[in-house]
Amino acid sequence: MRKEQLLGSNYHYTKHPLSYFIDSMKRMGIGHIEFYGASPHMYVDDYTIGQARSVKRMLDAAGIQVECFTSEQCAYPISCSISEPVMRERSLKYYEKALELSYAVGSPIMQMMAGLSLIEDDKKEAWKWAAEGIYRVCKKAETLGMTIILEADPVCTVANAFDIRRMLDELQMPVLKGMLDFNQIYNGKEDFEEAVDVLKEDLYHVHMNDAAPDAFCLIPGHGEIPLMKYFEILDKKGYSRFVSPELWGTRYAMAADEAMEEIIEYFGNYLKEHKAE
Amino acid sequence: MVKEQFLGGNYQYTKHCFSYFLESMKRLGISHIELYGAAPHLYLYDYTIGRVYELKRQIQDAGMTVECFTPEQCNYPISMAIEDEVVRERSLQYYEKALAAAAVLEVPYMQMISGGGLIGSKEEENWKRAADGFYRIVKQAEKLGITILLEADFTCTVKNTADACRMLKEINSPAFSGLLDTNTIYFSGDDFEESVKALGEDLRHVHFIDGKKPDAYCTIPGTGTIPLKEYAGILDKYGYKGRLTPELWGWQYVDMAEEAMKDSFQFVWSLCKEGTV
Repeated sequence: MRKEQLLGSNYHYTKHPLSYFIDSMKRMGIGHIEFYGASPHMYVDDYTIGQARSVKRMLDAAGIQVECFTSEQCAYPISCSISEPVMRERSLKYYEKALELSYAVGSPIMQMMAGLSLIEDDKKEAWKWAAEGIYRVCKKAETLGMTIILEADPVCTVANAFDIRRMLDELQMPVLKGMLDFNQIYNGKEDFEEAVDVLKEDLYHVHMNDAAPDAFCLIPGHGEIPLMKYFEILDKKGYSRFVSPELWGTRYAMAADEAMEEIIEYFGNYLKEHKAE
Repeated sequence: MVKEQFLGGNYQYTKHCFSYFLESMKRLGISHIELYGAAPHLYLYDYTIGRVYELKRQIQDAGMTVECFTPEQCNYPISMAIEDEVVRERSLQYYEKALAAAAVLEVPYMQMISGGGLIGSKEEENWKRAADGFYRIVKQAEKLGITILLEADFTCTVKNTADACRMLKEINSPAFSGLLDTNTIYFSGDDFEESVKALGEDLRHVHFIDGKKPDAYCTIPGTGTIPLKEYAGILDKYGYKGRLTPELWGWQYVDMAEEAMKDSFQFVWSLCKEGTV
């Protein structure tokens, strides 16, 4: 892997104003980011397209390019596979708006999840709703020339790499790709190499984070996920796209810069050990 | 304390439909509840007042009484103390809608937290914004005959019992009282007995949950390191007659919601005497 594959991200900067995050990225020499669309930075329901354009100007001025836009969809009540029709429709409208914001900040890619269904829900129906929802968002992405990347999560209807594969095969849309999240692999007890093989050239993005039995979205090296081994697998398979540190949650909110610096160092160590350029 | 002071809550039932929760309460012999307003049960943005009436009928038909309404305000981006006017105004409108729902449900109490400011914001300004916000909501609550219960949270502007007492004094309304949350006490380093004394007559509700440092929150009573038995003794000593809820907030028990409620009640009922409120 190369140094440029590492993205900065604002997941753990939510106790700071956006301008602080941008200044931090500049100070650390990071020119490419994954933009986490959540309050107070860019909560989809609060932002107009005009506001998103002014955010883009701020990013442009700092020389920062958004490579992926990920709106919050775990803490906020978003699901396109739940039986509750009001929630499902609101969720889809949320993704459609998120797509417009992604476009406005100049991101070529937007991430989305299938969302969860209730324990009482029929799982076949949940899958159908998810497929319909993802299809609808992808149709809009087509008109904007954007790519949607589908993330799996063990608690969601699209739970693992095999589910992503199945959804991609079912929908057959060139704008729809897949991604992997180290925590998803860990929590779902998946085999990372197998997951990479399942997605093949559709693997478009990677969330790198560590985890332990009672903690998730940790700084690489703070948990028990063999990240170095995962990087080697990505190298072996010729993965050349981005890896993004997704320190989701409030754990590092009071020490956001320190966390980001530790990530850069960790990734740098991998590159050094593997004599990458 | 007596058994009927303890309320059931739908906090950990968010992977179940609402009717499951009501059936579960019946099975556990619980007829008084704290209603947690969050998806998929009562996410305020998804609910018209008509739908709240429908929910009320469902609750009544199940023979349940709602004693306190608590809209989700931690996971969702809600803050009255934040500088961002869009976030703040939306948050206030959220509380206004919550109050309207509380009126329909005819609950005596609605819970609120102040929310917090960002790093770098001025604490006095955050405080002023929070106070203005409480004033606006409390004035409406006065008209509706509902009492707003202020909960302190260590991540918020009103962060401990001393802050809560100060805010209550500043707003000075009969429709504004306090509640204690055993997690706040524990994580903010407050003394429980001092807090009970400080709030005095204003102590109207208690969130009775366990926890463990560094970051296990809202766990089943008896499974953490908070001296809940001692706290119960203190509440008895000061003649507390209000309600208490095992507020099992978060995702840790969503796949074992009823079991978690049952275990909680087994523990809290073991602290109770026979009798009625």
